[in-house]
Amino acid sequence: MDSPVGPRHATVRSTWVRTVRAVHPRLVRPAHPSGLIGVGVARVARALGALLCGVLVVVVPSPSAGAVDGAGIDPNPIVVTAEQGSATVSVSWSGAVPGKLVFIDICRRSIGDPMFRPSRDCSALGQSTPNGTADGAGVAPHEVFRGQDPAGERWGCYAPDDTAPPGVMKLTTCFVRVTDTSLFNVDADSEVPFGFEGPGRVDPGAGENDGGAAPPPPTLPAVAESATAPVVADAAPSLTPTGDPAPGESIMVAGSAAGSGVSITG
Amino acid sequence: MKLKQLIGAALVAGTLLSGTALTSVAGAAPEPSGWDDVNDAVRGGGSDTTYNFMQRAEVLFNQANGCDTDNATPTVTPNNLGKCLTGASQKATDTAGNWDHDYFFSLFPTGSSAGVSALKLGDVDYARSSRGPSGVGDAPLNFWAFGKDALGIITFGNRTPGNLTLAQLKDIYECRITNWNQIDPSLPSATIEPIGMNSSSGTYATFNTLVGVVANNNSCVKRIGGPTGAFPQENDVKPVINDPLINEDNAIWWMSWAEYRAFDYKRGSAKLWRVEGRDLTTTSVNNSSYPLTRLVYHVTKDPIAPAAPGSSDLTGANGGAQGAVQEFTEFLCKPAAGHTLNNFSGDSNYVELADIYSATGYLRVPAAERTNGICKMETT
Repeated sequence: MDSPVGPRHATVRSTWVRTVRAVHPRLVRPAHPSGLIGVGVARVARALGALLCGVLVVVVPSPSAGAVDGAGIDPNPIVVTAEQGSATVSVSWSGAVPGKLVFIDICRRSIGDPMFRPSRDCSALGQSTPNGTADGAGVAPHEVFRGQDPAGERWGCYAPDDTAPPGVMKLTTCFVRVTDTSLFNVDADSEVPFGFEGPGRVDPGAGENDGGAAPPPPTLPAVAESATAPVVADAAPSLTPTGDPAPGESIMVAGSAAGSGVSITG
Repeated sequence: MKLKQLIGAALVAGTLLSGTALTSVAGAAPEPSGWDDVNDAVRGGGSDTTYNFMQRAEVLFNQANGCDTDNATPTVTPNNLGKCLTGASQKATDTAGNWDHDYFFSLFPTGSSAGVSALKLGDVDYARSSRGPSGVGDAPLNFWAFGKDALGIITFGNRTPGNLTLAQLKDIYECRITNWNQIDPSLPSATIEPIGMNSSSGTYATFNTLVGVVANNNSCVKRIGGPTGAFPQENDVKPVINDPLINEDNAIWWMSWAEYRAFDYKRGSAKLWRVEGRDLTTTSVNNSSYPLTRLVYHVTKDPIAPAAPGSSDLTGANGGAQGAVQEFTEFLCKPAAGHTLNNFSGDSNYVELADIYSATGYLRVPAAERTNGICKMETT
C-alpha cells in the first residue's frame, strides 16, 4: 500500500476512481498516512475496497478528460523560522485537462475523506489559480500559511511545537490540493500532505472573521392571556435540530385526549 | 434530519386540551423589524457580475425559517393563504430567518448602473451593483458591500500571458500602445485588439476608474460584429472569441475574477495576466496588493440604514417590499451569531452563505474593511 502508483497508471487509476465513486459514492476512504505518499494510495485502496465488497466494477476505457496527477510540493516538509507565518513552495502537477485553469488550495482534510467538501475544508484565502498549460502539466509558486486559516476558520496548519489560539484546531498535517476547471472538481483532484519543521511559535491567530457578536433578533409580542382561548398542552418545540435519534430509537408524542398516539421509529 | 421534530411539533400543536390557559407567543410580527406578517414579492435587478450570487442568496433567504403560515385551502379571494398566523395560533419563535416568508427574485442582468437607476425609479426593489456609489446622483441610496472581487486582465488563444503595468493598460485602451511587440519586444508584430464593454456594466465603470480611462470612447476599442456592433456584455468571453472580426490571439479584455474562477463556461480559453508584477490570488485580492481589486454591492434605498453606528441591525422600513429588503439586507450582513439554521441542511445560514461565496468566486469583505456586520456600507 505504501508504494505510489507510477504516472503510467494514472489513466487507469482515475478510471477506477470515477467508476468506484459512481457505483459506491459513500465508500469509506482510508486516511492518508502523513508523509510524502502520493495520491495513488487512497484511490487504489478505494478500488480494492469495492472489489472486496463484491461490487461489480466495470473498467471503462478512460476518455480524454484528465485527472490531476503527480502533485508535488517542494520543499516538503517546509522548514520555517520561529517568526515565519507563511512560506512559498513550488507546486507541480501533471494530468490536468490541457488549457484548463488549475486550482491550488490549502485544505484541512484529505480528499480521500468521504466528508471532504472543498468549500468547507479548504481555506477561502489559501488559493491560487495558475493558467492551464498545453500539456496539462505545470509548476507554480504557492504561498502556504502557517497558523490559523487566514479566513478565520477554526483550524490551522502548524509546526509540531507551535501553540494554536484557544478554540483553533491544531493540524500538523495539512494538504495541498490541486485540481482543474473548478474548485468543485472532486473527480480529478490530487493532493500532497505537508507539514512544517522548525522552532515553535505562538500563533496570534487570524482574528474572528465571522462578524463577532450579533444584535439581538426581533422579539415577538406576547398575546394577552384568555381562559377560554384554545391552548396547547406544551409549547411548540424549537425547530433547531438537535440531531437524529440513533437507529432503532423511537420518539413518542403526547397522546390525545382520545388516547391514540403515534410512534415514530428511526 | 428535522422530519421527526417537525412531525412531533405538529402533533403536539394539534393536541388541544381544555383547562388552564397558558400564555401563548406571537401575536404580530416581531419588532423592531421590517416584517409585516405578509409575504411580500421583492424584485432585484442590475449587475450581471453579482447575478448568480444574489440568486443563490435569495433562495437561501426565501427558504429560511419564519412564522407558521395560514395553510387553509382558500375558497375566496383575496385570502390569507401563506400569510403568518396571528394571535394564539402563531407558535413559531424563530425570528432570525425570514419571518413572514417574503420572496425574492432577480431580474435578468442589465448592468449595475441600469439597475441602480431602476431602483431610484421604483422599477426594482433593490439593485445589484459591481461598482460603488458614483456621486451625488446615487445619494438616495445605500451601497452594502458584501463581497470582494477583482478585475482580471485576460487574453485568449495562443497569447502567452505576461505582466502589464497599469500605465501600459491605460495606453492600450487609449490607443497609444497598439502592437504586442511594444509590450514585449521579443514578440512578433501583431496589432493589439482591446475589447470594450457594455457601458451600463459596473465592471466597465470600475475598470475605467481604476485604470483612468473611458475605455469605449477610443477608436481602437472593438465592438462585437464590427464598428457598428454593440460592446459585449461583461464576464462572458464567448462573443469575443466567436467574433470572426476579432483575432482572439491579439485580443485583450477584462472580467470579474470571481466569475473567472467560478464559471468555466464563461471563462473559456481566457488566461490571466499579472498586473504591476502581482498575481491574482485570494491573498492578493484580500489584502489589495493586486492593484485592481473591488467590492461588490447590494443596493437599497436610503431609509434602510443601521440602527446604530457600526450595527448590522437595520431600520427604516416597516413593511411591504422595502421592509422585506431591510430584512434581506440584514440577512446578508449580520454576523454568524445572528443566523439560524437552514431547514434542509441543518447548517447555519451563515455557513450556507459561505458556500455561496465559494460557488460564485467571491471573498467575504475583509474584516478590516467592514463597517456593519460583515458588510461595508457606502454612501455618496
